[in-house]
Amino acid sequence: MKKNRMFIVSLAVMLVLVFAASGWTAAAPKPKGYPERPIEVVCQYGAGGGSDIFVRSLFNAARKDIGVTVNVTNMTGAAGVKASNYVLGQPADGYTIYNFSPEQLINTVMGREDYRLFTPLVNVQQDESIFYVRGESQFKTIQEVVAYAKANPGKLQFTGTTPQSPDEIIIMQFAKKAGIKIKYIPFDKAPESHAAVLGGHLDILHEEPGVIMSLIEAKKLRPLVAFTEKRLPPWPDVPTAKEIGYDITMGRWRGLAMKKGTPPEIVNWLASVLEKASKDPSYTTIAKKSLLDLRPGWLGPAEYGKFWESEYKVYKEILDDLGYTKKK
Amino acid sequence: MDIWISALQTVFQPTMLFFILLGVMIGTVLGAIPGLNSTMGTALLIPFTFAMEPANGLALLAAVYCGGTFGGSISAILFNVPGAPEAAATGFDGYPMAQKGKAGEALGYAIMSSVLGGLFSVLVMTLVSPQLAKVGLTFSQPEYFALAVAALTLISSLGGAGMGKAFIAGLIGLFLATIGIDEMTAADRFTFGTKALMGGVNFIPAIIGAFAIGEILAKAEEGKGLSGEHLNIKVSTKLPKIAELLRLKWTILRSAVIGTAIGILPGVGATTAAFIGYSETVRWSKHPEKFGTGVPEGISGPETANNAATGGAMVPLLTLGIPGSATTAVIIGGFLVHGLQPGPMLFINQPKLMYSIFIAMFVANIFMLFAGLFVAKLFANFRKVRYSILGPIIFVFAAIGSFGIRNDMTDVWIMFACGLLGYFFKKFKYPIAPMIIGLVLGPLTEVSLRKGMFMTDYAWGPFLMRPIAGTILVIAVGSVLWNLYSVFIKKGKASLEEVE
Repeated sequence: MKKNRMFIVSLAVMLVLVFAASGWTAAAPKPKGYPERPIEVVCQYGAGGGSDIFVRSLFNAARKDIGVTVNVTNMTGAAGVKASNYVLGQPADGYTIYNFSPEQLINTVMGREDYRLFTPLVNVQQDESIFYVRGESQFKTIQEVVAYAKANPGKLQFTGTTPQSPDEIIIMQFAKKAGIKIKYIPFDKAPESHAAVLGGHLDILHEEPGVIMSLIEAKKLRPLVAFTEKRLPPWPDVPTAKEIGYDITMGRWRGLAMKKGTPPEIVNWLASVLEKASKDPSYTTIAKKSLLDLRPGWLGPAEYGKFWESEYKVYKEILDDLGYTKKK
Repeated sequence: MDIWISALQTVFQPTMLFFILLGVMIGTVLGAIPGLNSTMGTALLIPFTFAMEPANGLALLAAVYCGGTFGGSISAILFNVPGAPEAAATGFDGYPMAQKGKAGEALGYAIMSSVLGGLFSVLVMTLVSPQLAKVGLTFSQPEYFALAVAALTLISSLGGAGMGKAFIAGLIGLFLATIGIDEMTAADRFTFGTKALMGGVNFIPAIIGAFAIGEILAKAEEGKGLSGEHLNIKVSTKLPKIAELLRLKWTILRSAVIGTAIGILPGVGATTAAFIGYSETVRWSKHPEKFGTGVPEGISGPETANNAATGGAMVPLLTLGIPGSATTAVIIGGFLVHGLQPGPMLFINQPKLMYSIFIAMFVANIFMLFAGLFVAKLFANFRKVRYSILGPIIFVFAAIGSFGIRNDMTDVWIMFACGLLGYFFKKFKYPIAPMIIGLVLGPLTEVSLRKGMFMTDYAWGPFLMRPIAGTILVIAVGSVLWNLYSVFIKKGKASLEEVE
């Protein structure tokens, strides 16, 4: 009985929302005859991960405005090259949306794929990059870390997820600006890097706070420095890299793209639908739990495209520095 | 204590018990079907748990995990086609036993061992989770390397007559494991410039192909069996008697401890646990030469270990938010959809939920006894189906399952390629198991060695001189040398006798 009532109430709420939505004039008009069949969203990372939850929760909120079924397909492996390949193999008709990540730009630098074959849709999230040590670590501040690294070149061990990743780029950029020599030991699976730092086998972890909130709250991991514009509200004592003289603001961003050649009216309409979804409580409550509401991440199609170009330049410079691109 | 009582009340409600039973059934069936497994099952179910109470949803996922880890052994024993990667080692002795007409007994041993292994690990997890998680964290790259080497030594005792052939098969597996983007430097290796191979050779389609397709091709060639080799063979699952179980007590206890311990480690899961469980059973057995011919220890060893790994893998997940296996990594998503973040704070903030999951897993393992008997009976019926019909059905499932892992056609081609490999292995009397062991353990062996050496600046001393890693390595290398020694001594004596 209770279930029934719930159902009726939620149905009523939905109906009200649908009517309300149809009453509003959206920024971009709905293209004629689109969408008329299910849309596929391709995610190059596994079910239950940060990117997967991002696309699922966002499209969950956008579903009622999109009006057709949206299916999320997880296509993991090879840093997204396979998923990119799949998306590029589909027609540019607006029925395939891609969870675009910094890896696509890095893969372009490495000659594995070409981000210019995609058309930017929107960027939604801007995550926070933070360095941590384990609770028992001798390091109390980031300055101590830098001092130790200067006294013991090549001794300090950093970890993050996968080689040639945004993690490695930010760590190496930090090392470059701080003038220190360090080692980077990547893991394919992020939890293994957490375990290595918790167990005291490696010194410093790079990670976004959302996935390790519980470990931070339990004081098993201590944030040392945040690569954000301003100090983060949950940790007012943790300085930003900028404050201590290293002008680096970075962090994983999560956005969407489509195959180049997708009609602009579809791109613009989807962008306006997604903008609305990104403010929907069903999305924002999930984003808030992972601290994804702290930095503005929203970029429309045109701005997102410019953002790709500037990020690409930064990545290329660091990867060239690291010698990854030498032989090519 | 109060928290336990209220957790018990949460679990012992009709809806909760129903979800646990449902989960175990779904898991066992998925596990038994080649190509489908618990990782996939939990991933598919997460969207449904969104609408459920967190405790119910998580109990359902945990139950699928427990059932799926066992289910694979059913098809491994009945058809020599491991339904899930965890069961690859169960078929080594399970299938030969079934061929002797004792399929029912083999299934009985598998069910009992799984239940006991699962219960043991859940008990351990309930009692000493936080402490164990701490111990698990002390494992670094050298320890992982030592474990991988210990499991690889199994190859030397698997070959039966031809150790040389076993080594060749093992090396092929190790080679296949190197294909793809390197985990340390991101260099492309053996991809021949194709994008398809960048993702590497996933061991799940490889296992499905090498065993299932290889078997089907070999059977098709035999021809004669196709008309109904399996007709009129009734399989009724017989649970082992107490006396028979008591004879296996050391095997079960050893594998339960090994499985739980392996499960706790973040880098390795139930498949590795099963291989190590099997290899240690062989290592400490008084008659190692009988393995592979259908001995109960050969079923009990891996099957106890892989189910014990389920409870073990939950330890770091619940206490640290670090998954101990592929399936638990997916289960994290089941927490996140409810806005829960597994980790130390969850224990403090939601102890009731945590204890409910413990109890639910305990109940799931008991239900597994019944679900196991039921599903085994169901699948045993397929033995009555003519192979000319059953073979193609397995073929189709193998293709669908391989595609489903990553929605990638490459995995299907890999599955077929490994099927051909499996067929030629059979034809030229090479054992398949060493290849699979090499493929599964190759990445762990290589990466832990390279990472560990990089961390110690390529100094062997600090890498090897660690109490746990050193001990495991000495035992592993010692037993291989002993194996080689005894083989050569026997050969030497034999050839001397020939001369005389």
